[in-house]
Amino acid sequence: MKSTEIIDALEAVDDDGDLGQTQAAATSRLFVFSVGELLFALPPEVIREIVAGLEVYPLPACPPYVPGLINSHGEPHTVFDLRVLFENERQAVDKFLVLKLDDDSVAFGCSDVNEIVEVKLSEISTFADTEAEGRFCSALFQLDGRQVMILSVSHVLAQLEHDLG
Amino acid sequence: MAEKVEVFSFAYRDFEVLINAADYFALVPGAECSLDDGRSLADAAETGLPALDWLTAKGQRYQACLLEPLAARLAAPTARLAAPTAERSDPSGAQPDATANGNGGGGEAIITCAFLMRLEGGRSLAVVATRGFELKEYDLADFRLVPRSLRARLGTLGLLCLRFETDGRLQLMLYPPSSRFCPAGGELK
Repeated sequence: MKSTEIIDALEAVDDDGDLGQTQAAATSRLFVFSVGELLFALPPEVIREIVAGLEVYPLPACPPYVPGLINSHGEPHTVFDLRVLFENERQAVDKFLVLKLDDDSVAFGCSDVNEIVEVKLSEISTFADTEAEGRFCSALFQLDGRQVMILSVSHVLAQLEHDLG
Repeated sequence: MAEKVEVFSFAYRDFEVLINAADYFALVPGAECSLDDGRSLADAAETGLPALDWLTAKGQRYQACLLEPLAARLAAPTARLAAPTAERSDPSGAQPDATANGNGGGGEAIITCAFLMRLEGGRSLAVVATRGFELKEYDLADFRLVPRSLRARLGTLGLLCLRFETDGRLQLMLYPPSSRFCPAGGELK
């Protein structure tokens, strides 16, 4: 289930805050990864591959959350440092999630890849309590007592387009 | 047969700047160029090549720009994740092409040469290089566009496309006229 589908499902929540019977039982598969202490999730279908040990080539005129690009199978991919976006701190990473996008080549740096989890839609919240979460996440959920942010790739890319505009 | 691209390669910090040989109609040794104040390019290079405005080569005047500041714009030192690597003292050990070396390739002399090109609108541009270079040939298929998300911004710096060298180095293809930092690019002086 894509993030947009999750949002659609959540927006269908009744005014009293309850999911319908069918939705409450539905689950969403999400790929969970960490960037420093932050936990993020993406639908597995947007991830093309996970690569490790690649050099990041810095490029000019990029905002701080774009440390450069990587060479994945001969193709340059724009790298995002999500921790800069969320905490304004650099994060050294050695793994990259290469995304499956139609018209761009993008990778998210990550410290660790955690697991693919099944999350009940009823446990996913659109509540975001910080500005960054609100801008770059489509939803949140709890995993073993920790908050996991479901990234909105389109919003992250929109931020870059805005900053480079 | 694969289509080839002939480039001049300049080592700069930990990457290479490539300029397409096909963009320039002549490569003139520095000794054959003179600035408006009458100095030769080689003489000017000895004193650090201050701002260049116009030079004369082959009997014509050209608006001049220095390659090195354009390359420096591509260096992005603040975006580096790892510790910066030291600048190479010698660009790949490359010796300049003797025909491009106004100083005859001798000793410690500063190397200068000017790439002459004609632009639309009747303007002429001389890109002045003060460092050694290699003439290389690559397959067109080995070049890559910058990812779409960065293309517009990097295009304003004159960065056309890139290539990954087999040793892992990044090579950036520079088109000086499209850089807004180049006089002929039209924005900054």
